[in-house]
Amino acid sequence: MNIHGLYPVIWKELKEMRYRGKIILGLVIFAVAFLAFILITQSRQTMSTTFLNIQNFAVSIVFYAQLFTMFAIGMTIIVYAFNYERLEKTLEPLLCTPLNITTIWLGKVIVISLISYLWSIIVTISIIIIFHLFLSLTISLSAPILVQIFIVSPLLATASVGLVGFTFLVFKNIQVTKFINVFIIVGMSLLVTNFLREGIIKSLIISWRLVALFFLISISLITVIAFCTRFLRKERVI
Amino acid sequence: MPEIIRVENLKKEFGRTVALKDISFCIEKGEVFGYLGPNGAGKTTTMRILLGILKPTSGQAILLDEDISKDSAKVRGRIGFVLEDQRLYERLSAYDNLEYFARIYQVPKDRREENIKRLLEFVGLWGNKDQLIGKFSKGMKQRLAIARSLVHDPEVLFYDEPTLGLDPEIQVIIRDLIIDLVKEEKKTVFLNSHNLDEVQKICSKVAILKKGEILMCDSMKKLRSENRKPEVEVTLDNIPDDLVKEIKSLDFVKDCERKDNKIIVRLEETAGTNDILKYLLQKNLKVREVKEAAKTLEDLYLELVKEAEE
Repeated sequence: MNIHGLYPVIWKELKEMRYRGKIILGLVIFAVAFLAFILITQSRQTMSTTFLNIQNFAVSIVFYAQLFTMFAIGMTIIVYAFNYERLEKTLEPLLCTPLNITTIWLGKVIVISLISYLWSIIVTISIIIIFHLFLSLTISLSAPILVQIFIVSPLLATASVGLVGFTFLVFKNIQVTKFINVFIIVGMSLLVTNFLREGIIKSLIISWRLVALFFLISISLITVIAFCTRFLRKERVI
Repeated sequence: MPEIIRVENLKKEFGRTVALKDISFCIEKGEVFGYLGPNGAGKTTTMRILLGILKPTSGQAILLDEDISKDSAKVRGRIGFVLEDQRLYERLSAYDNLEYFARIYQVPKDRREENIKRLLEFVGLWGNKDQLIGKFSKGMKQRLAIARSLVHDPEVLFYDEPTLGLDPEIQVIIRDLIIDLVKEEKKTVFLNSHNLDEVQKICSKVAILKKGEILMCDSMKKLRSENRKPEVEVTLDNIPDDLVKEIKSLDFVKDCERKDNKIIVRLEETAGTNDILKYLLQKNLKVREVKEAAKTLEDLYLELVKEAEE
């Protein structure tokens, strides 16, 4: 892989990100609204029965808000970063330069993951502040959650963005990748609401095992996809 | 001159479709190689193979002393290109588009800024450097694409239909840009084109492609001399009334006609311009100008393509 080639790809993605600002902002508003909706509808009914206390509920919200926002933003920007490159046929000139497919893929994935992760952290902090202001609750996050948020989440974002980015490169049929994209967002939404309703969250979030599992899945996915990109033929990608 | 590109028995198949059939040619340093052919002849496929985008089914292509099948990043760093439809980043400014590619080619920062400024001035777009490409006209985009192809000072340039769909005025500007690049900067240019007039004006070597086969490949100089029409146009001060009749009766003349103060003499294959000149001078006629007619590239192209079809 051409490490020097990563910087220009990252530089260009960040430059283009200026024009995606409105989209990201829209998504953040959507994420906050979605979480506020869950908060309003679920809190009064389930708090006393499903969750042991409001503290656990708040922690669950923080945990999933961060994951959900990260996926929603990541999956949206990825369409612009990978699909537009193909639609506007700008991938072909790139492949005539010293850059290779793995470098282009990784450069884009790094920027998208970083942006979506940073935004998800902003949303998470906003939620913590909302809880503090409106419910006078100071959320104390356990060590596994902190590890999840600050170490595992960025890797999880990279893995998922990398996977979808890879499908954009592999499948010429855009509908396939759109389907995968929608599937991930809808899946995440259902997972969040279901977990909250069922109360599984309490046992899951405290678990180091879950954090370790997420970590291993992320690292393995990133490694496998990065390895697979080396075998993608230029003929297939353009 | 050293060879920059050598293509030997190159073949490309897409499933059952044969796009290229054993094509061979070579291009020397400083040459402008015109690659002509109708739509679907295989011009873009050849260029894509040379740029490392497509892998040939068989055969070999050497670019800058390296086999293209090795897909060397080093070689790709020494070539510039303009593909069909420019393919620029619409959401980046003209300056950023060039900077992106300069960064990819690892042009040092000080040289990068200098090169971008020089090139944007060269193509007349310095005043539009901060404008988004999405707002550019096709001609402006094409000029920017040419600037982008030069941002790292490459040795070889691949241009695919660089003047297609542009105003005649812009076509002339781009043509002059290419001529300047070859004359002043000694670049080697591989030019895919439909535009026969353009190829005739700027290329030093030409290949004509039809249905994946090269029908002809030669230098323009040789083409001109080999495809000379046995026809001479002579301008005289005074043309006697019976001159045309007399010339027609000569052994080495097929036909002769008069046009104002000119006579157009069609010669037999074995005869030369000297024969008719000698005859006119013997008759003490004052010759003001002699022009040898030659087949244009268009004549030759149409002839070859027609022959191939038959």
